[in-house]
Amino acid sequence: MLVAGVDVGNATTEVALARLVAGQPPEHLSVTRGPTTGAKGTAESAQGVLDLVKRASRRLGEAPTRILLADLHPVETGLRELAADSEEDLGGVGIARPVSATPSGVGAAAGQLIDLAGLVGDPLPEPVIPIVGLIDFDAAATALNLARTNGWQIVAIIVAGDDGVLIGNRVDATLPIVDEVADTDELPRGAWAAVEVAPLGATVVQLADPLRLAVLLSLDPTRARGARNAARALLGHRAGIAVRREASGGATEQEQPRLATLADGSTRAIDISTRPPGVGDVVAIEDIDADLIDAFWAPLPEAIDDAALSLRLRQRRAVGLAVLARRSDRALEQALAGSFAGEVVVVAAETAAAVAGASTTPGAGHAPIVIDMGGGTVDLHVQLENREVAIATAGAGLLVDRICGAILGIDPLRAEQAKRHPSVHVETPFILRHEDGSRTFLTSPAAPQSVAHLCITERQDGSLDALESDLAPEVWARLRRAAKRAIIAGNLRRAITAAGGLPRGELAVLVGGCAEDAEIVSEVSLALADLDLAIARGDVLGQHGPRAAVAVGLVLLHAETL
Amino acid sequence: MSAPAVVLASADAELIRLVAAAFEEEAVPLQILAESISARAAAVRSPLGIGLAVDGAEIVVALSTGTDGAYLKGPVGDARLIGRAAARLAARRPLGEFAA
Repeated sequence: MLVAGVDVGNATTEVALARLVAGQPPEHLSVTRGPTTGAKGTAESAQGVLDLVKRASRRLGEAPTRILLADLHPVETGLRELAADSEEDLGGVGIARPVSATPSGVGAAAGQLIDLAGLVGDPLPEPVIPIVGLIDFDAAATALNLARTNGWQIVAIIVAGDDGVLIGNRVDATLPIVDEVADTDELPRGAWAAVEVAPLGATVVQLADPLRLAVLLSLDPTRARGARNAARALLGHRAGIAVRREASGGATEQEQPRLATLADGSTRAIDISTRPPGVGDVVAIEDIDADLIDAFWAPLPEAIDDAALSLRLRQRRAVGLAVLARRSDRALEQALAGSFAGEVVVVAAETAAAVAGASTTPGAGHAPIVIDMGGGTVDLHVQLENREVAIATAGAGLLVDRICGAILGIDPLRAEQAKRHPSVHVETPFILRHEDGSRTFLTSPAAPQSVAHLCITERQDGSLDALESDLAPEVWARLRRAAKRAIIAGNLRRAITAAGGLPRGELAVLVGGCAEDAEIVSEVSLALADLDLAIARGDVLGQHGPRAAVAVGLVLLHAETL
Repeated sequence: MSAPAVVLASADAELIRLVAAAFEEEAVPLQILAESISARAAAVRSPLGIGLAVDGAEIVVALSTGTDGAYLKGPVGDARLIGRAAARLAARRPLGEFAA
């Protein structure tokens, strides 16, 4: 009988074809892998299974008569940012952070915002900050110089285009001038504002200090305290603009974190300052209608040695959340039964199948501890003489993708590549700087769009995938590893705690897609060093690496029943 | 020894004004050659190995090594933006919208 052991993961579906004859060991024929179509366990995920079974059958010239499935539990993974700037409580202060690498002048100054065209007639008695729209720099400089001659006190300038230095050179190179300011039309003319440009290589000081900011904006002491968030939001930037809002002067409404209800009836906010409880302790989450098995959340990682970057990451209040739920239907099984000519059999729990598959690793014998690190969950399987435990925790590779995507500002699919492959910084068209600080020389120039960018390597066509992020490769590497440590190793710790610990000196075999990632393996090994385990990467059937443990395990378990 | 500079080969006053503005904004030195030579030839004359010249209706940025063709190019009407990309290339900053 030809059978197909099928592992429908949250990210990847794997099919192991094998021939079974009663009383004989299975003849393993192939393993095929493809992306999971739709959510794990849904009717949509059946299509990916059928496509893979068809592909494997075509190669073999024979179709299986039985599909073997595991009892599945889907995981939902998402990320929420609770504090986009526009939603942040800035205490009645509007802010802008120009991205230009070439502001002009140095220092901080405050004045009334005014259009360039408004610098006519008698000058205002107070200092002004003209706003220059998208006009020729020579024309702008002429108008500004004329206004200064006529007595206007120009203390800083805000420029829409990339003309800050050009205007500074023609007006006053010492004036703080910020350029490439998006949405200058939205700056409230007549409002009191402050502009600061820091020296090269430095970041704003005055605008990042709430009291100095309050003095510059003439805020009373009460509002000065409220301006702390605005000051923090400007910390770490070369240039900044702060505008006093006269109308509301109050706080904008903050998005509130979701509440998780724990088994003891208490609640816990899912926020950057809280940690998820033990495995299975969350019984419900606001706005999520599901029978929960586990929930896990994690903030963006901290940037060690870079307080400004850490603060920028923290201010976003971004929380990645993974939720593992019991399925209330058999949609996948029913969809397969309706489309597949043979039988569809649910053989065992994923945990048991993973242990069976991992035990085919050469040299492992019976693997007593198997750690299955997939897209949606980190599963711990313990099969010892005196106890057998299986713990599934929500949050694994896909949650790492979400966190990495949020750090880099890219979608989770691209983040999946960024997570797996080392990055480089293209210093010149011919020189790459690597994460360890080493450099390599290119014989043909890198593409222009990659120059001076952080890039993901290892594209199939050999080109570099340029990212918009301004992170240095070594900084990104640290954040990436920290995310892997917090989610994969962190979740594994939760699972070990839930399992009541692990025996010292025992063999633990790592399987699943995440076990292909050497960084994750090393983070897990480091995180579990105190347990003195022999941690080894699985090699299913001695040829598939850490992949396909569940699919192959289903075949093995089913063979035992024949 | 020659001062480090990118070389623009052109005698067109308006083109020079636009490209020079881009270089001034980026604080990168630009040297003008009033000669009718290719961007590649201008790049070879540039101590920074980067040259600009007009080729038909396009303004071209070339490198002195590694490639014979244009490293960047765009319509002459976008001389300011192409000039900015060339200046940023010399300053090792992201080139911006004309990088593609």
